Amino acid sequence: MKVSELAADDLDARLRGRGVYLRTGPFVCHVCSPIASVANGIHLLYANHALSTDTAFADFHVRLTRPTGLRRWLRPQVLFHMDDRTPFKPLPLGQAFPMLEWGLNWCVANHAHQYLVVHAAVVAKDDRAMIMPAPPGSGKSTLCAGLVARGWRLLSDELTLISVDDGQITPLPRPVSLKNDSIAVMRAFAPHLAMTDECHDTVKGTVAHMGLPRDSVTRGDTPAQPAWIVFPRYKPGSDTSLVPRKKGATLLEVARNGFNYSILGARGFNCLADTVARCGCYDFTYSRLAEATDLFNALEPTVASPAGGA
Amino acid sequence: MTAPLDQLTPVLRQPERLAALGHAEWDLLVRQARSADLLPRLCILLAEQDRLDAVPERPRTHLLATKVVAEKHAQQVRWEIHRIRHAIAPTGVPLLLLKGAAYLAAGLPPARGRLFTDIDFLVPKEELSTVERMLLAHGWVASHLDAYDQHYYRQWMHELPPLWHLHRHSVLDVHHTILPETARLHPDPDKLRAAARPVPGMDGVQVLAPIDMVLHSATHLFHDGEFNHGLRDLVDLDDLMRHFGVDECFWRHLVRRAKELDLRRPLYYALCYTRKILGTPVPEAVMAAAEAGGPSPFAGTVMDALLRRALAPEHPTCVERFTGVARWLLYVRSHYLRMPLHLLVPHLVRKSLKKREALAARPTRPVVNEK
Amino acid sequence: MATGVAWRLTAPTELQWVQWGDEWVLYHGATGDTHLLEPLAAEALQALRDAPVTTEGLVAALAGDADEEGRRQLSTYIGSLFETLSRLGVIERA
Repeated sequence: MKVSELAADDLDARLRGRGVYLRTGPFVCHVCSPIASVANGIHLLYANHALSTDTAFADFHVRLTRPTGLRRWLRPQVLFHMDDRTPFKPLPLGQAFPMLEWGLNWCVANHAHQYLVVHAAVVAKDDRAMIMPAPPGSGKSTLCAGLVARGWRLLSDELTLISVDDGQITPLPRPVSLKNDSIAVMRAFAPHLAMTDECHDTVKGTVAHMGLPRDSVTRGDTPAQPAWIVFPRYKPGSDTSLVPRKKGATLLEVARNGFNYSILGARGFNCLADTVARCGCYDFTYSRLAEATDLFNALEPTVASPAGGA
Repeated sequence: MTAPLDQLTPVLRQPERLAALGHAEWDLLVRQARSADLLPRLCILLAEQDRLDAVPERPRTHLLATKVVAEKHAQQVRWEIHRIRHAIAPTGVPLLLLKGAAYLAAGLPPARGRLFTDIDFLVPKEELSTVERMLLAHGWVASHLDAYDQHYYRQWMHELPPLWHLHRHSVLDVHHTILPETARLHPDPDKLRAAARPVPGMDGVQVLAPIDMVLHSATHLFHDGEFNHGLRDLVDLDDLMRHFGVDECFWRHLVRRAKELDLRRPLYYALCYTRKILGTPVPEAVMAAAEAGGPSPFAGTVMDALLRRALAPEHPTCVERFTGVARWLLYVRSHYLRMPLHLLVPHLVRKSLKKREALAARPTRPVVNEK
Repeated sequence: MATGVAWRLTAPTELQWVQWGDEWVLYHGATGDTHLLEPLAAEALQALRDAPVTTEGLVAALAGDADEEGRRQLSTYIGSLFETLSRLGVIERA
């Protein structure tokens, strides 16, 4: 059963009561909240997501509540719980839905050590994946959206899950998080995709979340093989250029973007070394989205260059 | 004895029960064990029994993932021990490790699947400043404590204020005795040090003698009042007693040594509650001999009510009525046992204010920066 | 840097290497750290694999037929490299 098959007030009632069990990629998330904007956000952006049939075991039990106390009326807030822990300070109530998304990211990054969890977007064409580690403001979200519009599948816009056992990329289809300028760009570029209202004055600036294309969700169980690691940079007025980068430096840069690279120890190192060996590694600069997507559509997967060892 | 939804305590007492759990029970068990810092240990238990493959896939994934974290912790502690040895070697003072670090160095059962926090070790009181100086010269810094807290640690407690490392963020607790000088019980640290054993393969590193290790663990749990790892600490005691208890000498000398070190009361509680809760095979004769060190019948009844609650898993699904009150009373008791009353009340008020400050200082930004 | 000081790996069995061209990436199991090294640094570190080595000994082994100036530069480089590796915990005085 999908979220869209529940009426809005039914979903709201469930969230206030025993909660809903959402399937997001490989995880089952049990979500409870009495907050209306959370229910609205889930109804809007998780419409195509499946509700788990098994409600006995959840990977993460999360709640968003309104802390009690005098503040409750003067400056309403929202608090994120994962089971009996509250890892973050409360945020203004208006940021409840973003807090759910940030909180779920935290759950995955801190617990899912069957994966090397990298702070990167990942898209795939014919089940060959392109990993894009990128700091905010690099134009990663715009590039991803452009590629998705040209037939690529979005596996995740924030957390790339590389299986430590077999090196495959596991999709984590969740709403796309957009910040500042990219919000307006995306509204124009993909008006058919659902989007929440903007939240202003968050620690990340102005934030909104966008729904995924249906295909990205329904194919959320299909893994992909890593084929490219690309560091994108949007630079106004620049030519489109794809420049190979050195693998050793790429390994270290991806490791720095790995939330749990350090925790995984030797496993993380070996997983990442294998991944980098298999991938074409590039720096990418662009200013014209259409040219960028043309270039990637024509890209052939490179032959893996296995590393030497000692 | 156990709260109705407590899956964890029964399974620790009788690991064979793990084979019969359904999905809903696994859900509770994973959450309770994670909260009690015992989830990696469950994974190891199952692997030792060759039962890991039989666990349903989702909980099994969580078990294996948490084992990765425990392995990382162990690697970090090993490295810290290496660096501490390097730092204090010129002083000639032996590194007498305590608690978790000791279990790891000596390859003892409580180290399996352990999640470590600070590293504790014992030095002679007269060597404290020398050791502190060497550590400060190797990248450890004193905690940013105000004058009151510095005074509390140095004057009244039995340790330096915690030292943390500038680059690695590890935390050291350097003790000169195992209970504060103001406490009612007076275990002689010289006796502990005299009986300490070297760790094979680690020059200059020692751990407490087996009986002393058990007594120290019992004192830490039943005297220090920190019950947030209560069940885990009880499991440590159970592990140590089963491991050392294979040698009949251990049981024969246990009560006598407790008397010698003025630790009969914590030993009594340790034997009593490991037996009651985890089924530790304490010989009858030993239990009978230890009872002489127990509390009065009235105090015993009160403590039983408090301890049963405090030793349950901390998870909300295991909380009964008055669990919160029980923990608080034990906390106050522990401070009462450590400090004179006229110092206790102002101290507790201060601690409570500081705790509120600490809660207010949690990260605002839900950013993941796991190290 | 004191002369005659011998260096050894802190945890010889816990090093894992990966190499692409002139890049050497090292995972040091004892510390959990990952390092990117250039070929000369990797060669210097690998020279310590079997037995402790002094700076002078290493310069002699690696200098080949370099002239006086070349040897001096190599010596400075290795001295500085060993200080860094020592600070990072990869090597220690033997």
